[in-house]
Amino acid sequence: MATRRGKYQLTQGEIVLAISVFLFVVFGVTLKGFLAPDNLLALIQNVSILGILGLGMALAIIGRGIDLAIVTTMTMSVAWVLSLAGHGVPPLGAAAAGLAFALVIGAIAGVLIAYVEIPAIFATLALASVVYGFSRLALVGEDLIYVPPTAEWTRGFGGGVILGVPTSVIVFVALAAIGAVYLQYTKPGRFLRAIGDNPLKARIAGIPVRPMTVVQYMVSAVTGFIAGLVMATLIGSMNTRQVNSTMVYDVILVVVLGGIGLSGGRGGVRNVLVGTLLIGILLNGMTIMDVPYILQNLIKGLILLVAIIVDSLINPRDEQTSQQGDI
Amino acid sequence: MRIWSKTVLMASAALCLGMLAGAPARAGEYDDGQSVKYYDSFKGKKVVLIVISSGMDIAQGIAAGLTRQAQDLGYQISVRDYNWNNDQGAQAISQAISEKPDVLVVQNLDMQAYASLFKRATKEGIKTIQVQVKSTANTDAYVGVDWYQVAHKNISKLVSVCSPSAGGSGKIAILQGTPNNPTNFIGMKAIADVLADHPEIKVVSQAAADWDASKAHGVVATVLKQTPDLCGYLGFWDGQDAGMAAAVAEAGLKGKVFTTTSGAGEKSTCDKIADGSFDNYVAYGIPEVTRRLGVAVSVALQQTGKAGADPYADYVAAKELTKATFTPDQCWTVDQIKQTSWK
Repeated sequence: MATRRGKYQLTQGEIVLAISVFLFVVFGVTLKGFLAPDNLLALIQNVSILGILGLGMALAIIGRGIDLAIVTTMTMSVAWVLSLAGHGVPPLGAAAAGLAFALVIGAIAGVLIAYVEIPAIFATLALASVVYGFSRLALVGEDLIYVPPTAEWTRGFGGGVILGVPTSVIVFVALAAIGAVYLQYTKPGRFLRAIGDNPLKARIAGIPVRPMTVVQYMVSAVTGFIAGLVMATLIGSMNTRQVNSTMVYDVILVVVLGGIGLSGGRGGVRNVLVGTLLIGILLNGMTIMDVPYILQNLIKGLILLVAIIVDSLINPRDEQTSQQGDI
Repeated sequence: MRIWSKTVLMASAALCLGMLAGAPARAGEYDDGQSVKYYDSFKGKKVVLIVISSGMDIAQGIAAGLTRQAQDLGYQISVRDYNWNNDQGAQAISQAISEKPDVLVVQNLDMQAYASLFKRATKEGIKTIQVQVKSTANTDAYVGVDWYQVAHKNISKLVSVCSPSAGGSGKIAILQGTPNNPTNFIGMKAIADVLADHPEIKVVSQAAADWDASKAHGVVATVLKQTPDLCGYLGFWDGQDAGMAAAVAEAGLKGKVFTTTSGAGEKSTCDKIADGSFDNYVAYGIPEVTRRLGVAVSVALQQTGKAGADPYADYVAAKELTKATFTPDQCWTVDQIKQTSWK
């Protein structure tokens, strides 16, 4: 597609990368302290949780789905872990229970989508409500749960520093590497992209589309769980009200901004990194400049619009490029 | 079987008689001229309590206190929560109005949302008490903290620590929640008022973190790197400011950057004063708020005047807790409120 008209065309990922580099240079020149290594590490650290969630969401979207339950899964499974730990369950046992909970949520989502054939957007939206309601009723009594003092040693997982690099950044980079290898070099990864590109064709080609879909949502649920563990150990608490926040849209924003089409089959880990980087640079720059809250939201929205407009100008949609299921 | 049903019949007949007879049923009880009337005034009365969320520490405290009071004094209570959703809250209030309880107690989420509903409740003759956040509409009573005072105490403390005359750098940062939230909005007003008298204090950042601890962590980590000589950080809510404390600790500045926040003072957060996460903490004093709310309910149930005839406010002084004078019993638990009896 890049050489469709005989000349090289920028993809959206490249456009966003260009915008990121531009902002990086502008902030680097104009803002004191922006280029300091400490600040750059903080920049990545601040978006590492968003980035991890973006990786999980990207897998779902590449497989022509979407996981609107990812933030709820992250929040409630980890809130349960903290609640268990607070009631005297050893932290590792509590974490194992949380992981199992996340896997079950992912499996239910996958079965609803692959076998009951409910569109992913509705299945995960409804499931998110069910998971929240069930967890609040049966598993977690408080809105806000702290890491109990007995589990204080676990804080190193997301809040530690190894060789000067925050552990949350290390987890993000490690997961990104695993994700890249999975998508690029493993059979299930290639299958996932094929399913996203054209599920019917993939099935004819002999790919087990339904089981693969279930696995895909289990993977995104576990990614959410890991993001939650990083978050809880970084800040020392988990706020279940996060479920009602716009966080899941921020995650989709990172993925789409990076150039992963919602129609599936296209994109990879690189796109998530690019999208995450742009948001990170923006947030960091605006915090340094102490830009008022409302203006921050406006700027974020404008940059997204610009990225999409530039993309649709450079890569106009036509019968050849648009596909069925495109949102 | 027949004997059994006969017993039930007799028992219920006795019960009916007792209820009809009222006071004479407790003939043995001492009456100081008011006590019997006092206990009688709660019989068969109905109170509806509508709180923000059943998982919120403040709401748990209030609900535990009123439920205990209802048990001890013998009125009926129904606790409902609207899970941080103003639309659901409006529905819950409308529903409550149609049930015509004797007293309606509402914990507001913002200042405007329920103003017209409160007027309707008053018109319908339902005595209405607001707790912890006050709507623009006045009702029979408001019981809770004065948000202006909470922020005023916090910023005054920070100014006294960070002022160059006290040896501080004079540089402070404010961590907002969402600027249009009433507690945030009123708090910023208090901060502006105090800082107007202290030109030596410079605010280097007043970014908002959406009441989200991980966003708070991100903002604070960045600000700390930008301003290495930052003297103090003020936050508006302990739940969000756990992220602030984590970022300060991570930067190795615990004890060097003075952190101050406010919150319900429930044990799980309050204990963070002991480990130095927060150097200063302004607590709403929920046990006190609950107690005084109970008194307001009891007064409303005893007095037979018209609803909304004589609105009053009962502002509960927020408590300032600091590490130097901190003892764990300054924090409260829901169990402790549950065990405080009313009779």
